Amino acid sequence: MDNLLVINQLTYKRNMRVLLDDVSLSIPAGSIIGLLGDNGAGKTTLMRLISGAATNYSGSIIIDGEVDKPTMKGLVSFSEQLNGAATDAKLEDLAKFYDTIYPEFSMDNFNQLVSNFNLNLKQKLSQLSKGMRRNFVISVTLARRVKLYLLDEPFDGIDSMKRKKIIENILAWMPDDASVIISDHHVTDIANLLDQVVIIKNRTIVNQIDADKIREEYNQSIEEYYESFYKEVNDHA
Amino acid sequence: MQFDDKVPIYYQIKQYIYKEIIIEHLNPGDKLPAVRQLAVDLTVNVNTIQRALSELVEEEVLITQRGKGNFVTTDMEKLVSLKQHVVEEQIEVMYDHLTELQVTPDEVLEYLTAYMKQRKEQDNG
Amino acid sequence: MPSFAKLTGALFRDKVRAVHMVVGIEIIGIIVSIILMFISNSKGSMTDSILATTLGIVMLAAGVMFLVLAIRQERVWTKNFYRLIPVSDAKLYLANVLSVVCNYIYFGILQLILLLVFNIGSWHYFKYMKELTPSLYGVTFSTLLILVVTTLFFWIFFSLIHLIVEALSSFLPTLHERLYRIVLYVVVFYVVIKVISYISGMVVKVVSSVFSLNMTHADAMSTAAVSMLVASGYMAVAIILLSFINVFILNKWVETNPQSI
Repeated sequence: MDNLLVINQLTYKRNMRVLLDDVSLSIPAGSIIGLLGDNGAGKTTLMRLISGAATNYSGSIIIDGEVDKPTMKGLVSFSEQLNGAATDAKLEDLAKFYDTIYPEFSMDNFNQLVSNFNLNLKQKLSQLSKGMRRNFVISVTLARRVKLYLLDEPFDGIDSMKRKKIIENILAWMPDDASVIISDHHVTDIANLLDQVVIIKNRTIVNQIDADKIREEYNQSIEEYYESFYKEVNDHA
Repeated sequence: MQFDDKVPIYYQIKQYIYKEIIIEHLNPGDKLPAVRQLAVDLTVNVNTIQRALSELVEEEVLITQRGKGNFVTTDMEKLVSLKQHVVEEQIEVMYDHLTELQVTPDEVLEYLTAYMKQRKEQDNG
Repeated sequence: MPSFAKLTGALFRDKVRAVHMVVGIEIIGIIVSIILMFISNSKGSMTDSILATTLGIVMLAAGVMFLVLAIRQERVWTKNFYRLIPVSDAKLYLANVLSVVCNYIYFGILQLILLLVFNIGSWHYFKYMKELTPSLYGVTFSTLLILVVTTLFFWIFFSLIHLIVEALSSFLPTLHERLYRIVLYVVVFYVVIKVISYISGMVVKVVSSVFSLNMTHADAMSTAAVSMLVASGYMAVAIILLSFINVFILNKWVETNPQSI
């Protein structure tokens, strides 16, 4: 498989702190990747860098062979892309904004996603509960037909029935050749979905492995593997 | 469907499809749902479904028709041997566990007969 | 990638809700004060005092609108919702500033309509229009121009301050961030004002020395008009210059806020 995302020796500092340290990573096209790590390990930061929200890094990020920033932004749909949207906007206003700005935004897909989640487009962003807001964010994120989806803790604060619904929609709506990177600390929610697991710790990537390799060769669940890995590294440290 | 996260998912999907065929939820010649649909129904990755299906095609349990999808084979011999194979696998697991406990083959048979008798009474009562 | 026109249109609609909100509150304000006027039943011409009141409220609303649009403009530089749009930073900058200007013009048109609608009794003042001399037209035009350019200049100037502080604070520790941000704002504001007034002082010196040679005999009105035109031109140059700096800082150092909202 071709690599959709290639990251080389990525280091990122902000506010006099190193937030990512020498990260290298390749993500194949058409795969679902679990980005696992403690809070503060650098999951969100890595996604911010890939999405183009943060730019002052050293090293390189290449998406689908592109290095031009605006082009790259057009290839990535990040679940934090609605941050800063006016909260007095109705959901339909925001959808229209996306439809105007993003050529790959599919209004049909969006409407189906929104009806799957029973969202009312006449409501304002400020009127949504936390769970509804998550669902709206997922709808917008998946309605863009792009190469790479970055889902940062998409199930945070969502009960397990609704989690399943989000997962079903991710599976149903991601384009064939697209890849998804999901960060989560409830590993079990997404364990069935993953092609690969990327483990991030202390601001760098410490392992990348096929999900089935964990089960076949180590006879472990992904959660056990991830936790033992963290523990093991802790013990050595 | 509930998966055991310690066992490769594609393997569990194969077992699931075997079972569907054996209990005749899927009949010879039936068309399987599209890959994407299976992925959504079982909430697993498309690649995982793809891998399970392609192994089933290799085993000739499924037949691929270009542009139409995957169908359960109509080769009855194949299906009979599939059932035999799956049942044998289950017995093998049980047998291995019991011999680990140093139960002799004759005793295995005794235990099994006794258990089945007891179970029959239980289920009827 | 979206075209410049589409992007500007989308950013215009994104801000137009704020315009409608301000105008909505304004209309309520006007109606309430007119009702109060009728109740208190003061002496003198009712139409004149309505004119005075509406003019006052319109001025106030214009000030508020100016600030609200400034805030809405600044949000674009630091929020994912805008910064993840797949366009170059220069294009985003231009579209954003243009959308703010268009919103203010739209607001201005609404103000004219409001003034006309609430002051039907004062329409007779229009008869004085024909007494305006060409030179007065000139002064009116250049006054309007300098108002527009000054308004724009302030928006661009606010952006410069905001962007410099954003850029600097990304290199400073997060400890006591609020405190040093305030200090930074004061210091940067002071320094930038100093620099600008120094440069403008030089320019004014040069320009006035040129004009004192050639324009001594021109009549007062057209001198005023011309000097306002010159000032507008000077500010337009400053706007372009500051915009280059703004885009540069935006592109090089200003990232979106990491906190999710």
